[in-house]
Amino acid sequence: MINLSYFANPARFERLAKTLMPVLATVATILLPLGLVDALLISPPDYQQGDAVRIMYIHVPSAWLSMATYAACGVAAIIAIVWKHTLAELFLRAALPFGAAATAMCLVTGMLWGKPMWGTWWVWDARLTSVLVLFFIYIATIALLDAFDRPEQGGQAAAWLTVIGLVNLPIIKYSVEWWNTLHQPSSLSSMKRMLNPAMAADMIRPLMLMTIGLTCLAAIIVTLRMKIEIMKRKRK
Amino acid sequence: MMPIFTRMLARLTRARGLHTLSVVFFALALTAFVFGIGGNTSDLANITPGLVWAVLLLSSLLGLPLLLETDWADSTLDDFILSPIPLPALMALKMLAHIAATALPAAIAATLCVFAMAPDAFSPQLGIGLLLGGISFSAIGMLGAALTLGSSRAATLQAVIVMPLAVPPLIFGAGAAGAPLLGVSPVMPLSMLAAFTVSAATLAPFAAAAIVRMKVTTP
Amino acid sequence: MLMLENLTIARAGAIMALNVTRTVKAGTVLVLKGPNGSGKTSFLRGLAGLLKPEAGALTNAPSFHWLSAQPIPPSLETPREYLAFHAALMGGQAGASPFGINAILDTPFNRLSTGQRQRVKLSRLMVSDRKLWLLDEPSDGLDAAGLETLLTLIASHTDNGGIAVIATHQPHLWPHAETMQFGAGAA
Repeated sequence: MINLSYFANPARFERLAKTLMPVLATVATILLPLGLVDALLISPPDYQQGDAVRIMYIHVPSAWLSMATYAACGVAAIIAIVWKHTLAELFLRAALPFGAAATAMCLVTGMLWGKPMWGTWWVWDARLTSVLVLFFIYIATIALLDAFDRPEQGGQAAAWLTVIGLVNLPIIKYSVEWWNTLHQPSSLSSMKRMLNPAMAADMIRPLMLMTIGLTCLAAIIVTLRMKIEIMKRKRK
Repeated sequence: MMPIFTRMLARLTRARGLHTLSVVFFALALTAFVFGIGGNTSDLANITPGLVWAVLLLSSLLGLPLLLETDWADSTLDDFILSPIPLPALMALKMLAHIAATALPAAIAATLCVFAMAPDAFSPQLGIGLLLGGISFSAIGMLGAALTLGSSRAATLQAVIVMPLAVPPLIFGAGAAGAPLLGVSPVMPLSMLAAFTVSAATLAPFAAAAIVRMKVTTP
Repeated sequence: MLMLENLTIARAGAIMALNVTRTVKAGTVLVLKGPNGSGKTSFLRGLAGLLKPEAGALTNAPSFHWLSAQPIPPSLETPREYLAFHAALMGGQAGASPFGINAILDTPFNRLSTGQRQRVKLSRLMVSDRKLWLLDEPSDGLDAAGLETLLTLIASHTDNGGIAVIATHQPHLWPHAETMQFGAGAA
C-alpha cells in the first residue's frame, strides 16, 4: 500500500510546471540562437586572445549554472531535512546530476580555453581548482542518492551532504585561493586576467543572452527530470 | 561514561588493531609515494611536509567502515538513541575513540617521518598541526560514516565524501608544515587550521547524531 | 498502563499495523504473533519510538527496556564489559543476573554459544528497573532451563505491575497472554 498524501504536493508542482514550461521554452528558444550567433559571429574577437575568447560565452554561463544549481540544491536540501518534503528530495534528484554536468562543462571549457592561453590543458589556478572540488562534492552527493536499498534514505543522506557542502564550500574556496598565492608564481596569468574586468558592451551582450538562455534551459531540464522522477514513483 | 568510551575504543582497536594498522598503513602509503617519486633525499625533503599531510588524510579513512557499522549491525545504535545520554554526546565520544585509534598514532608517525626525512621542516608546531589535522579528518570522517550507514558500498563512498570536504584542513595544515622551508611564518595557516578543527569537532557530533537518528528511524 | 490510539505503523511504504487502538493494562503480557515480515518488529520499534508512526499516538508510555532480536556478535568483548556498557548507557547498574551467567562473565563472546550470548543479552533487563519491556524474540537460542528463567522473570515482572510486549514465533510459551495477530488473519 502506498502513502497517498504523498502525491498531493507533486500534483501542485505539475500544475505549476504546466504554466511555467511554455514561458521558459519561449524565452530559451528566442535567446539561445540569438546569443549563439552573437557570441560566435557578431561579437568582436579579443585584442589579445583572438577568437579563443568565444569559449567564454559557454564557460562563464556554465560556471554560473554550476554554482547557482548548488545554491538551489542547498535550499532544497534544507527543506528536505527540516520538513521532509518529498518534492525537495525530487528536486535534489533532478538537479544534482544537472549541476554536475554544468560543472563538468565549466571544467572542460576551462581546459579548452587554457590550452591556447597557457599552452597546457590544466593549471592549478585557484578558480579552476575550486570548481574541481565542487565537481567532486557533486559526484559524492550523487553517489549517495542511489547507494541505499531504500531510496528515501539516499535522498535524505544526499540532502545532508549538500548542506554540509554548502557550509564548507566558502571555506574550501578561501583555502584554495590562499594555497594558490602560496604556491603559484605571480607571473602566471590566471583566469582572473583572462576575464578582462572592463569588458566591452559588445561582449557583455552575448554573455547576458547566453546566460539567461541557458538558465531557462536549465530550469526546463530540471523540471522535466522532476516530472520523470514523479512518473517513476507513480509506477511503483 | 567511561565504560561507554572503553567499549567504543575496544570496538576499533581490539582484534582488528586499528591503532597498529593506522601506523602500518601510514608507513606503507608514504613508502609507495617515495617509490613513485624517487628516493632523492633532497627532493624528498622539500615535499615531505605536504606528503605526510596527504597520507595522514588517507590513513584517517581506514577506521571509518568500522566506526558506526558494527553498532548498526547489532542494534547498539537503537540503544544510543534510547539512552538518557544525548546522542550528540555519544557521537562525540565515538569521534574521540576514532581520534585515539587512528588520528593520534598516525599523527605521531607523521611527525617522526618529517623528523627523519626533512629535519629542516621539523618543529614543535608541526606535531600540534598534524594532531589538529587528524582531529579535523576524524570529525569529517564521522559525517562520512554516518551518511553511508547501511550502504553496501560504504567504504568507497566514505573516501569520496571525506576527501573533498577535507580540503581546507589539508591545505592549511600542509601550508603550516611547509612554511619553515619557504621561510614564511606558519602562524596564519596554523590558526586557520585550529579554527577549522574547533568548528568541525564541535558541529560534527550534532550533524552525525541527526543523520544517525534519521537512518535508524526511517520507516 | 500503555494506551495506543489509532496507531498506524508502516515500513518501507507498506502498512504493517492499521489504526490500532488498545489499552495495555499494568501486569499484562501482550504477545505479537504472525509470520516473518508481517510487521511485529516494526510495531515494537514503533512502541519504542524508534520508528515514527504514520498516524496515531502512543500515550502513557512508561519507561522501558528495548531488546532487539539482533544477537550479540561473537567478538572478543566479555559479558562483564557488555553489561557495564549497557548499564552506563541506560543510567543503571549491572546487577546480579537470574540467567546463571556468573561463571562466564569474563569469557569473551566468541567462545560462548548462541544461547549463552542470549542469556547475557536478556540480563540487560536487570541493569535498571523499567515498567515496560519490549522484547523481540527473547526465547531465541535458549535451552529449557534458560527458557524457564525467562518465563519466571517475565511472570514476576508482570506480577509487580510491569508490562511485557513480546514479538515471538513461539506464542505457545505464553498461553494466558493477550495476543495481537499480524499479517494473514489480522483483524
